[in-house]
Amino acid sequence: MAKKVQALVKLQIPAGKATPAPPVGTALGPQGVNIMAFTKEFNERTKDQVGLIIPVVVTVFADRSFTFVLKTPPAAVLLKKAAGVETASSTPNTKKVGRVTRGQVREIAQQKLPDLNAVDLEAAERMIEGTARSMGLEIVEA
Amino acid sequence: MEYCEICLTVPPEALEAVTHLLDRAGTGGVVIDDETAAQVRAYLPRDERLSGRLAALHQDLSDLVNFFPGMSSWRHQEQFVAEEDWANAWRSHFHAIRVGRRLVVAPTWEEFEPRAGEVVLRLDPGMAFGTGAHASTVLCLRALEDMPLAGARVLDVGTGSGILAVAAALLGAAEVRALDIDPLAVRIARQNAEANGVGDRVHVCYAELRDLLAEGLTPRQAVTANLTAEVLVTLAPDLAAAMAPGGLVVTSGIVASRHDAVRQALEGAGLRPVRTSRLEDWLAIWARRR
Repeated sequence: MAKKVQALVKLQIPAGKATPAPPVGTALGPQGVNIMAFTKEFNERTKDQVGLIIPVVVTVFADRSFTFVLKTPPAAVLLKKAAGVETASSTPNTKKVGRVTRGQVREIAQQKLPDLNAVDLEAAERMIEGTARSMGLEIVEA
Repeated sequence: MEYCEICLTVPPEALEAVTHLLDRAGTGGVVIDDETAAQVRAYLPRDERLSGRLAALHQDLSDLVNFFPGMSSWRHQEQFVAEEDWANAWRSHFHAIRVGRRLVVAPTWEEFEPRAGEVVLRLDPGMAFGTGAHASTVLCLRALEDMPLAGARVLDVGTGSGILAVAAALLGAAEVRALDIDPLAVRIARQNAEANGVGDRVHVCYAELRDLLAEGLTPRQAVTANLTAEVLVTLAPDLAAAMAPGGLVVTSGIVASRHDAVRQALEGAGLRPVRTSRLEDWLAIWARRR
């Protein structure tokens, strides 16, 4: 039975800890989606990643059934991991907290490219690079 | 509690940096709409800390211009949204539906007084299915009402929520075998059979039809297969093999343009098409085994 898609909802929410509060409730409630069914399944599938924010795309069908796919972690998460830092700088202009190599930036851009609206790898790299700098991470050549 | 909804319009290249700042501000998640422009929505509780948190967030967002020149034109809008019972609000979308002459599909939480002769099927919408009102499902439910099910052995291929299997049992089938290749559907179908008090007569298996045939399935007097035209064409010989002589199969989920392909496949498998029913753009073909 083929189903008609009513909406695609893109969220970034905490792994294993989604609740019906906003943004989940305000985003999925108006679509008529059984929110508890969503949070339960999402939390189950992401329980091993507690502490991380996970991007998820929910497809809602015309009969209000739905399915979802988990996407690659946010760039900030991947950058922190690559740089080996726990927290980003709160004053990124003046205080640098770590560094990532250009190769790592490219790798992350490649990994994220399918999930980004960036037109090409170059644009994705600029996006990752800007994000890195805005977190107080220096970009080094090697 | 009220929430402050923060709606940001930002250049697409800054999206990841912006969602990071929102996360750090303690919003507990964001909604992204990047189909046209990059729009991000996030929420903070309306409490005594709100103004301070918003001011810090605005400052951080403004500072992003140092890394993304396009951020010079970022826009924001804030409004308050009242707390709602989000966990249950969606229920208002679901009500009892009379799908045929006798069958009524009703959510478990809704009071429903059936008229004389009506059969009420209780379903809670979940992930795997919605209202049970898709045209192809309705065609099958109506077909079940017309079939001689009393005491019959029934097979439901691709059961999903189990709606057809449960309906068959409620309409008097002696034993229903339901299968699906999605483990989630199998779990939900079992729950729905239990919830309707027919768990003892509906057996849901996580299997393909050919596995069941290989195990030696007792021939079926009635079969429902609400799938797609393509799958029906492939499955036609197996459907025929599962049926008792004179048994009836209802194949559904067929878009009008694929009618001939399915019909030919059924005929090729030794089944005789006896009726085609239509709802919206969807067809169901009934066929009998000689």
